[in-house]
Amino acid sequence: MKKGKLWLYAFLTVAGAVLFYVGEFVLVSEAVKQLSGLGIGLGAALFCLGIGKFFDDLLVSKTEGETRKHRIAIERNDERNIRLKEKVGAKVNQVLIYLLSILVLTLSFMGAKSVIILMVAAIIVIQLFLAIFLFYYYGKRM
Amino acid sequence: MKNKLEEIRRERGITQEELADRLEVSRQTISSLENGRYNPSIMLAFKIAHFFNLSIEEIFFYEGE
Repeated sequence: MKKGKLWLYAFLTVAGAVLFYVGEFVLVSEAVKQLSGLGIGLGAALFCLGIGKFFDDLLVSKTEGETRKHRIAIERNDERNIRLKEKVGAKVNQVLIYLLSILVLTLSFMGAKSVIILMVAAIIVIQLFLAIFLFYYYGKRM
Repeated sequence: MKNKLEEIRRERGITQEELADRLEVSRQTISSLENGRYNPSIMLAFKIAHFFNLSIEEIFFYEGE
């Protein structure tokens, strides 16, 4: 394991621990409750990331690491996987538009605040505009 | 699109994993190609043909609609 990486993992672990401590034991008042939550969450994530990467590098030998990286690169660039991801993305997008539309109608019938309904409707509109824009963008390049 | 990929691969004594490594695709792609569940891109078809030193038409058969 390179020394530079070791310092990075140590920094992440310590930073995570400090953030967690600050979030849990220092920011205790109600006024900073959100900051406290952010500190705890971010701190825990950084701590786990630092420790996890440290052990991951320690346990995987350099040769194994190179082979694994190569395999990961192949899987990422594999054309069938790319086509699958694109197909899945398109289907998920279709389903989400329907779900968001149902959500807008449900919220309207329930008498929810206009702001909330408008925000959900705005997401649908942004999705549609993005779809149109990206269609023409990629259309010109393909 | 049907193909003789599996037949040709076995004749040359190559495993799916070896072929996938050489073509830089996943083993699942090779398996799907051989089962006819997946049609390769033109680039991949050329790569496969070049690897086996055959023409594309000797490996893949277009059957029409």
